[in-house]
Amino acid sequence: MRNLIGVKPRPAPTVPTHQGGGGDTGLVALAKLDRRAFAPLYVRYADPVYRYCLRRLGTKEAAEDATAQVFVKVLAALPSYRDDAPSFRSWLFAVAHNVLVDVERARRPAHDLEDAALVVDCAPGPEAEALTAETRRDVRALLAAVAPDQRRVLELRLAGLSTAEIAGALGRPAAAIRGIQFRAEARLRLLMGVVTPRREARDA
Amino acid sequence: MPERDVNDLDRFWEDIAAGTPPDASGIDPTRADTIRRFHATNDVPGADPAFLDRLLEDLMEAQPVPSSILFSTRSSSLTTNPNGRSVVSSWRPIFPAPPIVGRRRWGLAQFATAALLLVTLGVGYLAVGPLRPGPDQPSSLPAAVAPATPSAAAATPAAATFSRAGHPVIGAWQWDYEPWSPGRNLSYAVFDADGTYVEYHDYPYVSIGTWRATGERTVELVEVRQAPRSLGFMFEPDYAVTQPAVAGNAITAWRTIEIDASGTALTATGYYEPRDGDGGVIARWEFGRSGLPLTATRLAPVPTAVASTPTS
Repeated sequence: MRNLIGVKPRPAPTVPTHQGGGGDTGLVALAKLDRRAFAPLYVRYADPVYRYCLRRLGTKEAAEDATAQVFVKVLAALPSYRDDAPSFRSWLFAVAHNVLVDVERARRPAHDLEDAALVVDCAPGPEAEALTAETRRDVRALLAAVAPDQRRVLELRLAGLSTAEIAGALGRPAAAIRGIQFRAEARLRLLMGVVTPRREARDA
Repeated sequence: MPERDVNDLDRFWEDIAAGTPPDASGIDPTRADTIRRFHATNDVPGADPAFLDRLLEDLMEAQPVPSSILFSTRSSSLTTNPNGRSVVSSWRPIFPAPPIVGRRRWGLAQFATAALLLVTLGVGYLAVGPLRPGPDQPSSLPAAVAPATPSAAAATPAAATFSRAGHPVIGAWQWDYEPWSPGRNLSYAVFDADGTYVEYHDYPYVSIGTWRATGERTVELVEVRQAPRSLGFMFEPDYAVTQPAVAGNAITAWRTIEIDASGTALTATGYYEPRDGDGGVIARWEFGRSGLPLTATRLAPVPTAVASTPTS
């Protein structure tokens, strides 16, 4: 790692492990001294952040714009980053989450109505059976079929965050995140046909 | 849910996300299957490498400007954010960034200003400095003087021949890392008579180093700067100190320093080297900007009033 500026972003779709996220402290401290030292963190997280944005926004262009916003804001706010945050990764995805909330608000109101419909429609329903085998393998279709709070947790899970990091990113207690995740798992089980709705109802 | 189950489930999610073989022991097989299958759907394509390269270049080269300016070449949500949120222009590096090629016009203006300033100060110094009768020089001398010689080849064996005893650098100083924006980027340092150097910045960074006298009013300084909080892992009962944990992610720096005739201000030039986790040099960057050196002012001790013991 002699020439950070020339480092090519990691192309492989790997998600940083918890251990990797925990090893960011030194790099963050270094990046506070000079923005060019931020490059290793960027290389580590640019692709996961982009994928997170793409899952939320659906198009390459929107995901790229959002990713750029995220890193501009992270760089600007880096001096205020404190080590008592759950992790840099948690903080980074908190910024990403806030950027995406802003972007989604800027979209047409139909999206809000769609979200509102999902809020009240979080119980197992007929659409679960309507999911085809194809859509059961489509992560965006699955995420669209769970309640918004469950979707947020699942999206961050897909990004590799731990429960504590998700709690930090979403600003909610870890216990609440576990509860949401439990309900999300139950919903996914139904949507993906892991168990029958009858079994699902009995478990619930 | 028992704590152990919670931890097992967390670890299972993390292993799956990281693509490492997960340990499903202790987890409901149905839940494990759900998580596995859900992650298997996670096939969103990765980012275009060209985009990532371009963004990295923008981030590294740009000053902290609103995103709407930085990315103005594309009509995007960046410029249509209804919340009006803009990037906080609070980037405040401890070590100031060197000039950027893309800001040549601004750099040229700064260079001209700096040159004019240096010529003025240099003439003033030459006019007054050599005539200085001794330590009780006139108080009207300029606080800053011409910068010391650049220190890329600063280490001079002969430097050690000067004694530290009574050197005017001894004492406490307040560094200003961005003298072109006074007060924005400060730190506090002590030069001890035994050659020890300690510096503390309000960011969680501490420097330790050593200095040696190279002249009556000149000094060389070497230092290692590190974030002590990165040693937090030592609170763990089964911690292990590895070489990168101690030596990595540090900054090594060299400065040549010249104290002004009044003994209350100094200037410094030099360079610093951020190091990666293995201790390797990432880059070498000069202190200062546009020819302007770092500056520091002496911190005078504040006399403390001794409270008298009440007698009644």
